[in-house]
Amino acid sequence: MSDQTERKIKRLFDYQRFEQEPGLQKLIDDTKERYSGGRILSDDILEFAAGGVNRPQDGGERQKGDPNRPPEKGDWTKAMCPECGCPRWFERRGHGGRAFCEMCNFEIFI
Amino acid sequence: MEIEEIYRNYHDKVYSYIRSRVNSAEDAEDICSNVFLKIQTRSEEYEKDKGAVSTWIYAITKNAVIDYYRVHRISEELPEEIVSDDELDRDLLQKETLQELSEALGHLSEEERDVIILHYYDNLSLRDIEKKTGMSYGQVKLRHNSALKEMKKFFLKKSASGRFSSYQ
Repeated sequence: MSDQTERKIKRLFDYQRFEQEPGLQKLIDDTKERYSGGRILSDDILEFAAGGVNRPQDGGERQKGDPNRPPEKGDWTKAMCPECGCPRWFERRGHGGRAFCEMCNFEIFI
Repeated sequence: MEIEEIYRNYHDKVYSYIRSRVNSAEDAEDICSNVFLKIQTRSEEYEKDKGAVSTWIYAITKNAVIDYYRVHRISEELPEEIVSDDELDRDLLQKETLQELSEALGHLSEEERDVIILHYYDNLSLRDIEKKTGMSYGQVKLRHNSALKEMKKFFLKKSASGRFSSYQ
């Protein structure tokens, strides 16, 4: 990211995660609401998750976010991330069916 | 400000920030505890004239995350925005500048604003934004560029009136 404006914006958004200035947070929440599917898993997502595999596949170096190949370590299952809105690999961690999106760390229950 | 008050006011913000950067919830809780321990032991170091307490706490939190990355030798590079520059942060990272970012976003169309938020806050690539929003990749790129142009103009105007003066 070479442009100074971009760096400034990125830094300010990073700080916003901490400070949560209300006016700016409202704009962020409005955008999230427009594109987020919400936390509750629909039947479509669950059906999608049921088709996931948890073993790495052969062939070359895996890129983070590759929806076709899970990361090598951990217990992974595939599901549609309500936050990203895309198919992602979710790592099962902890208790009670908790799983976390590889890309955005959004928590779902499988 | 008493440590209990700081804990009450900032715990959720500190945890939320750390959790967005650290995969493990248990590690995030550990880091969060360490941050408040540092705040408690360093409370005499905080100097009011050097900036808001929130900026001071943010710096401690960010440095704690950087230390975590180093200790765990996480192979991916530290994201650029997390690299520590306390002097830069002290001037840039204030509530007022967040309000100005909010103003700048208010000058954009809804689609442009969405692209900026999804790209710079949610860290989605332009390709992912294409999939998420249903806009074509070309439209996403166009809106990204026009939004940045508009925001740069806004910041320059503000700079001319005294804000962001060291960054233009």
